[in-house]
Amino acid sequence: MSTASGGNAIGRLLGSTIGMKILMAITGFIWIGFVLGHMVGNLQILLPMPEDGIHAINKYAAMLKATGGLLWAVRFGLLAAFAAHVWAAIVLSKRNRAARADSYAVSNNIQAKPSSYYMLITGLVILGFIVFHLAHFTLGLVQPEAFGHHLANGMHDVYTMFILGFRNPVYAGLYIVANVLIGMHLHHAVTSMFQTLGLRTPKYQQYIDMAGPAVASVAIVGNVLMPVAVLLGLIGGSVS
Amino acid sequence: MNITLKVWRQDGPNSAGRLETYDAKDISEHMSFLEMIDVVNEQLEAAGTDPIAFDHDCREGICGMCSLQINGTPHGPERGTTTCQLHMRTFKDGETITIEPWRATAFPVVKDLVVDRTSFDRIIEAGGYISVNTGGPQDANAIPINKGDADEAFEYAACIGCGACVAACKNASASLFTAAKLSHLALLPQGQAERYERTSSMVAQMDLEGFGSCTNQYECEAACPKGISVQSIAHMNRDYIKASLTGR
Repeated sequence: MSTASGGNAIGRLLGSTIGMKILMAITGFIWIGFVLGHMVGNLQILLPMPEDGIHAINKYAAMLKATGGLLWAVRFGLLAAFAAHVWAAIVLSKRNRAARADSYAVSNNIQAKPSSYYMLITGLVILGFIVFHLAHFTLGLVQPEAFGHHLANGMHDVYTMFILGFRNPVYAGLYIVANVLIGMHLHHAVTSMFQTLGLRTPKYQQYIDMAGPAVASVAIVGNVLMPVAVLLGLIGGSVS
Repeated sequence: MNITLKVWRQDGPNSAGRLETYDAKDISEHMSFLEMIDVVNEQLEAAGTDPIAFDHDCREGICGMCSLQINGTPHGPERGTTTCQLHMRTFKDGETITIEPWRATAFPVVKDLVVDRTSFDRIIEAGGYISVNTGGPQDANAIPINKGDADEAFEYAACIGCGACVAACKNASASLFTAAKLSHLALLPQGQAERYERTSSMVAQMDLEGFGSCTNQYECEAACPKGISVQSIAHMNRDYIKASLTGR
């Protein structure tokens, strides 16, 4: 019986399919945390406009900006995690394709959920969506007229950008579709992550199997609520 | 009953294969699937055609030799049943049944429906054993084992190594097979000494054979004629993480 070849623990792990899956699980976990945190932060858009005319989302945005170095550290961390996730997905997908070079004439799926079959496709859509989302709300390239508004006191007016962005039914529709696909990705991803890390034990199996659908539902409802609320005119009446 | 068969025919490992259509007439619904092929083969031989090559041995569902992807499902539509224990009454009169070999780069076709599964043997050779170099056998029950562990180990030991897990997996991953063999030994006291070295070397061999990775769809568990649980894969992953972190 040969023992694991030398090198460090990370090198040994990344040399195997299980190690690559563990990398996907850990980087995916980081992004699940981001997706949920991002959603909770943005749901402040639903809060009523206070007396002083400075909306909670604008204060929140100013608070994030004020963290300076920390904000950039988080951004680079997320970027690194995303890149590693995509890299592992490409390496494993190529390997999996090669493992079944000849396909079946008749193939039948016994019980696998649709969300698990479309991970690569939903993942690629998410990649495209994130690029669009950054260009739209972070860089202001998509809708320049909605970007760069400031309040009288000089604060960035994220509220106006948000409302103008989602009043456009094409953009709002795009965000709704993208977020449903993110939910579909999470539906398989969250439960799968526990199994890959070896944490789906008999004792917790039933809860872990519910975690994927639960996180997916929360992410879809929370994220779709925002563009829908703007489209229906439930929020943003003060923005002309 | 009368059945139309679409069978993968391939002369040798390097020949191109194709699906051929055969009529199986007057088949008894009490026949096993393999007996039905035996009957078709008798007819083919009488007509001077090369019979369909397929793997089989015990025909009792315990040896792991029979295979066949039947209408896209390993061992056919009956859950927890090997092809040899599948009966024709599972099918409808007049039905068309497509029979293909297991499809995996690590299971190359030898002829027709026969595939080479020695990649599984090499995974076992990499560590699927307990080294006992001296002494006679111990008395039975000399080593206490928890009932729960014994039951779980026994469930994994039920793996007959047929390869249905690989055939069912969209990535042709051998995770369930390797994990069943690893977890079987990892749960027992006798398996502890070599536990993490065994995990590293069997996983390395599994990768070396060109099997795909596990994407946790659990099609393997659903297709396994012995109903082996993917809990074994979680167990293997846990041990693999420990093995990698401790350099064993």
